[in-house]
Amino acid sequence: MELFKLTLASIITRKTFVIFGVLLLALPFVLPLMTPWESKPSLLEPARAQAAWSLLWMAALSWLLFQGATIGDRWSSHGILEYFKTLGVSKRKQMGQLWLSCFTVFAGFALITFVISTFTALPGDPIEARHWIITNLQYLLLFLLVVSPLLVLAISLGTRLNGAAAYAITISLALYGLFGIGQLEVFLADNKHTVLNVLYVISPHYHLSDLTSRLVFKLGAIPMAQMGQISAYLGGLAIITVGISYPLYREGK
Amino acid sequence: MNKLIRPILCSALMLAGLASMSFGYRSLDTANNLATDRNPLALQRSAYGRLLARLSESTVDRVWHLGVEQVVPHTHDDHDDHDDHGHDDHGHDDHGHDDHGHDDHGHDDHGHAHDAPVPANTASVDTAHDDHGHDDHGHDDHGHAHDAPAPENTASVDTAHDEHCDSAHCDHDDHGHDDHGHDDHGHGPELSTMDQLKEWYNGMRVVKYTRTNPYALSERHLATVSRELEGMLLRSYKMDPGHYGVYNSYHLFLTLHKYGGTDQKREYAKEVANATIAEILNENEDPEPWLTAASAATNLYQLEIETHMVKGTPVPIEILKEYRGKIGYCLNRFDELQAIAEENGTWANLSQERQYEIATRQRFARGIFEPFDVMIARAEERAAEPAKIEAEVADILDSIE
Repeated sequence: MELFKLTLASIITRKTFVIFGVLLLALPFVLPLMTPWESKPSLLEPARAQAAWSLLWMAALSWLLFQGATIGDRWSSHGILEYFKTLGVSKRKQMGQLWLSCFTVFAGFALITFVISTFTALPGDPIEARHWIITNLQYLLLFLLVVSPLLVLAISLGTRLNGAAAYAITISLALYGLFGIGQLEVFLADNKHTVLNVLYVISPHYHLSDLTSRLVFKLGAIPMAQMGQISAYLGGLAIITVGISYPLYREGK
Repeated sequence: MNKLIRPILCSALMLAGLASMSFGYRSLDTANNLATDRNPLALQRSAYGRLLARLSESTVDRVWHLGVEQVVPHTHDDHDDHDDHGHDDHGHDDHGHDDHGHDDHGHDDHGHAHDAPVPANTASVDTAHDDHGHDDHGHDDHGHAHDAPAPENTASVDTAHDEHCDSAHCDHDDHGHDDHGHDDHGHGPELSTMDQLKEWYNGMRVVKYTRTNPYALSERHLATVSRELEGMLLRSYKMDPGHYGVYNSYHLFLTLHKYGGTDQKREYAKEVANATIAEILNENEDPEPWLTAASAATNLYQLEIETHMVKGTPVPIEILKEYRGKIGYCLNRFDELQAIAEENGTWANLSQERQYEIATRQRFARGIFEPFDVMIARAEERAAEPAKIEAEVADILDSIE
């Protein structure tokens, strides 16, 4: 686990995670106060959960993926990965340790969000409260199913390309899966074009993991059958992403 | 052996991933659960959506002034918005193309667009409206500034605009575009250094937006600006369908021929009004959206009676009763929720300006609603008249016999 310790120490020394940590802690309480809540105080609590999850998405897309891409690039360029290879740390283990080092810090972010969203915006009604907690757990699971493999991809691309290019590719894929597919659906609404339809089918439907609407509008937890289907889809997509990332990873440039 | 097992294992894993993904995709697609809700991070209709709808007002306002009225957008509304944390819509309203502007036109211009005679009930609505002092921001008035031949200079456009902007709150008149505005504000000895600096920035902003092109925008260009404004208003409407100013401004752009409204869009305007009411039906806390619902119901009424206005036929009593019920329900809900808000202290959270603004809108809505009883009484009288005449004729015939 030497590579893990080295990478984690590097992340902690750089301290940029502190900025995101503070923002994740403070903004969910500040941002709702900027909304027109005066005439409708019940807006505050859902707005807090919404801010917490939106900020976590932003932290994942900006901090986490960038960390993965730059660390992959840096360690590969500086020969660190080749050094660990000579020590007998396999490619698979290297990927795992790099992923874990970035994810350890990010797990703290996810925990902050989960706690703020679940316990500072919990509805008073016991049935609603139960749904609220389950929805938050479901959201956390689906969120991690999307973000974790993207981090592996960012690291692998970083070891092969430079950090900026690796980050650009990964964030483009993430943004497309989260927001771009909605735009593609608009085209497909009155268009039977085969290429576009194939593109839609093979696109990563990351938007399925965005359960913010379920929290903000108190829609309740996703039924278990549908949750299983979404998890199967995103889990399968995660395996494929990791599978593609593996051959992309290389120890030296 | 190990070398052989590893690729097989990897391939098996990938196949398992693909199978799992396919299963999930197919199940979700079959149950129509795959499509996005087109509302990433639940921005639309959330608290942040409401905030964005309010903030968009100053952008819409600026584009309106630059593109349609072709005058320098005044900058005081920015301060207003800022001071009130973006929660009020003074800046936008004051220019008349928002809810007030809509109110001015919502009734008159439908008539003009079809060259229809204005029936008595419409006049009464307009009178009610005028009583509330919103009659001085007519778009027709502003409109002819760009209908006229190209202005010789910017000042002439501004003068044309100023002549018609006789409202006390149309601040941009005071800016004096020739001297870039800051002279009008900056010479007061009582201004602090901070205020003077702010005024200087204001002046520079006026310079930035001052039109020096001697020609006015072409009709096609104006149409493009109108479409852009409509798009901006649609985005704001999606953010907060219950926002009074945004809904009414959007309705204005959908229904007025001058701003690109077509018969098809008027049908769409009905759907928008119904969607607005449906959205607000679940509102049990904030009273203000119920005024938007009342306004949407009034707009539906206006669109419904258009054909009668064109033909000059009386409005059927069923329509009058239906909309009296709908508008009355919305206003009653507003009263109920406002009373609750006053009781639990929520109403006191609003600034005095906001309370005044909401009260003004409520009075305006009441002003439109009140004539319904009279109109229904007249319609009932009209319906009873033939029977009365028949009875009189029968009496006369009886007496002759």
